[in-house]
Amino acid sequence: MENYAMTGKILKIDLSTPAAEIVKTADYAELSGGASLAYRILLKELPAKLENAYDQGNVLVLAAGALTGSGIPGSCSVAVAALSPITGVPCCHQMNGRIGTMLKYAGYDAVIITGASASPVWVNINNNEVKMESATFLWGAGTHDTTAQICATVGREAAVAAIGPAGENKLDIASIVSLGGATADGLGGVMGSKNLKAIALRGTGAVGIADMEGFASAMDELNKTWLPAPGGSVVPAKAQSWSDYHAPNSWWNAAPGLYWGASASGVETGECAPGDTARMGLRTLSVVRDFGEKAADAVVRAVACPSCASGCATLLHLPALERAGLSPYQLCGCEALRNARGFMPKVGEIPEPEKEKEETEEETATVVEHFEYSDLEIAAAAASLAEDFGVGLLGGQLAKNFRYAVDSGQMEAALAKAEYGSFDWELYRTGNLSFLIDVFRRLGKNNSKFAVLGTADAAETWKFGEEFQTADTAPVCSLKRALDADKLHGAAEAALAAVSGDELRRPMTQLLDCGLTADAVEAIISAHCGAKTAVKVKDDILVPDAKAELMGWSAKQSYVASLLGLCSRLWPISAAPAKESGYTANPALTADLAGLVWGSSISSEQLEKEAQTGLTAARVLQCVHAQNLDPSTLDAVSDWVKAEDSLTEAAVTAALAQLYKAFGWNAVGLPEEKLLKELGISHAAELLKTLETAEAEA
Amino acid sequence: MSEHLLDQLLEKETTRREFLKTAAKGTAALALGASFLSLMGCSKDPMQEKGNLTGLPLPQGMLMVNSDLCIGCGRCELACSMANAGAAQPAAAAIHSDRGLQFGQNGPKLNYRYGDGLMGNGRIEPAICRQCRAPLCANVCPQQAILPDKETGTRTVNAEKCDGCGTCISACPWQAITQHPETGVAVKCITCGSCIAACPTGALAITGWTDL
Repeated sequence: MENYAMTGKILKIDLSTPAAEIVKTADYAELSGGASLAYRILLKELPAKLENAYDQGNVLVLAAGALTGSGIPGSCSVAVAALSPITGVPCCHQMNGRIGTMLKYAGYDAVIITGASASPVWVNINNNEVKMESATFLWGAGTHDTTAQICATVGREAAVAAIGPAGENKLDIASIVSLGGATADGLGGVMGSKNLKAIALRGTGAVGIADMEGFASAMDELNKTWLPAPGGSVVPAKAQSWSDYHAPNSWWNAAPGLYWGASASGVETGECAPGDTARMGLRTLSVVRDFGEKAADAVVRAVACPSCASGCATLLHLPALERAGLSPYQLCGCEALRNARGFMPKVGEIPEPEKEKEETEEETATVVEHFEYSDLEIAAAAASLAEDFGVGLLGGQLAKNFRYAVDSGQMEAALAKAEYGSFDWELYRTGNLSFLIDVFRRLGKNNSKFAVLGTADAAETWKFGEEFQTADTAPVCSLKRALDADKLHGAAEAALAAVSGDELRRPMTQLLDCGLTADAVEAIISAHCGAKTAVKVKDDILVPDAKAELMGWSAKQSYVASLLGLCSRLWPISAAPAKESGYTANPALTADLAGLVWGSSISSEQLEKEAQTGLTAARVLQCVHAQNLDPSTLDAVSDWVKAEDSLTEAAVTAALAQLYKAFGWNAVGLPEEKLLKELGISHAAELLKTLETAEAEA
Repeated sequence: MSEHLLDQLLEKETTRREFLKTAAKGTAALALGASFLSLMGCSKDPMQEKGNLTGLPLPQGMLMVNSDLCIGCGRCELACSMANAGAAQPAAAAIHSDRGLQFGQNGPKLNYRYGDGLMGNGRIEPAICRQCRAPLCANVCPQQAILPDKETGTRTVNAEKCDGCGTCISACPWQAITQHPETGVAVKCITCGSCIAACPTGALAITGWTDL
């Protein structure tokens, strides 16, 4: 098959030598990308036994999607994978922003980084030129300054993925940061362990479109009929003239009277009906969804990733941040603000300690200045500091852990008196953001006991009490990935989350939360998942067979989106906003678009098979690195989750069994040799055999 | 007659001085109309004897951007390159959004946190051709490859004449002209409108020409 959108080339860089070579994508896969390609690469390249994620043998992969850079809305995603310091098994995160498209325009489907440099370096990729540059002058700098310094050197347009001090110092939750809040939690330390400060990309090449006329027509239909707001929302947050329905939690929250309040001309979002393609980018103000309408006053503009019509990131102007020495301008990704909220108490939340009797009048006259910051200002400051120091927010878990540790007294108990006393707690009590700067500086340094907070085991190490195990604070799944759901959609969603964090469940969650009626959602499930039996969404009672189909569909579609490089906040598109479409998007939409770009037809089944291959490769890698041939033991759902959502153990076990079946795995969730051969990853079978032999010998 | 004049203007290989003379005639012709021009007689136009004349027929329209509405998605670049270069290739586009996205069109400075771009004060504005009255790109082109379109007056690159020297790129005060990464041919806006259709916030429009 002639494939226009895949370059057929992978750049392989060995930092130890150092050396770079170009290998063929076909050595790993015929037609793949994103997470599927990344896991296929790790299957071949990642040594089965590593000391830990910071071992020099760890392999970092950046894999663009097979449609990344093609101009399809949201086609900017790149998968970043390596052995994770957080979980101890290989992981893969989707990063949006400009890195993925630049990688493709530079002429590569992926970059593989092995070995470690003897001294700090950054990799400078300019089309077919690859250079290792000294990063000695950047070591210790934040990600913002690093990006600016590199762009000043190589060009304003370079896309830079950098680590901050946290990554350099191998904090477990360190992130890789690129413009637009695109981060990959946990993998910053992997770059740091390789002495790799940043990867800079510039590309001037093209992604060819085989059938340009057909593609233009399909894009027109997509924009006018199918394209939802981020989060899969297809109805407005408030009643509007064009819609029969509305849902308060919708991402489609543009409304008359709602303005980008800090823009020079005060842009009004107004009604943005489907079909009005000149207003698609005004549909969403994620900051208003998370912080209320008052937050719109700080919005300079919505910001979108390359080729996306929905600006779900926001550029804010918050002059109060200057009081803490931070920039008043903050670019915040769609989830960054939500994940960063609640780091500091509000003024008055923590009572003033009683004054000691011997205090003189003069001393009592010295008052710490109180700065009353709004929730939004605190969140923006925390998001900015986390990005600059390269600290991952763990989907909001870091803030929860920190506040719980401080407010419950666990932190005081866990730290030596000198270290605890070295914090200025008066700043904390009075809500001064200078305290927050100190917190991130210490996390970035990773040289004190306080930095335990930057591991996934903080709750266990500091012995958080039982009261921590609630929906408001505790991590949800066994793999310690925090989830953002207010409430799960039953055992099916819990099972998906247990197998692989929140990625696999996202297509299902977004569909169930799209804002349409239960009947409409059922019709969509029927059309997209092939569920022949009725699925009663309301009351969360799913008919078993249909539930299995829905779960399998969700997991595979999440991997299809990744392999094509499509943003998971928009894709798969299952519900549609246009009334005339019957609210059901064309189930073959993704495959049709891929066919137009690639020049030969491809079926949804072919894409799903490659998705299944990626999922299965990930599972094998999980087993190999956890040295566990019964991976069902890794898929446990926390007791409090079951209690919170009234799930029985039996329901979760049954849902997991159905999920394994949908993936073609055996009863304990292990892929067997026959399946691995069918999927063309026989190498995975050899890895499992080696593990079996080792277990038998043991 | 004006048609004939424009044909001459656009197709005939001329020396620089001839080009300027003809351009002056063209300006006059468009301004005064064909009948009046025939009455006065082009060859006897006293203006042509003065030498230092510059000017081209004025364009009918120009691309404008409302930068307050720009969300930095780069769909304008993609649509432009698809329509005019046949592929999704922002580097071959005639509108330039992405390169100034992070630090503004002039790149990062020491105080980048307060400078233009998303790494700074959030000001983003695609660089676009203003269809200048006296375009420096055309004036400096040693091949006289940048000429007004017959129909619209839009300053257009004649790809066959352009030898990819890049002089026009340095000359353009708006940083609005670039070179195709593979062919080296100068690329500039021809007001085709493909970017407008792709913009998801209605930030772009073709308006009546104004001298900026």
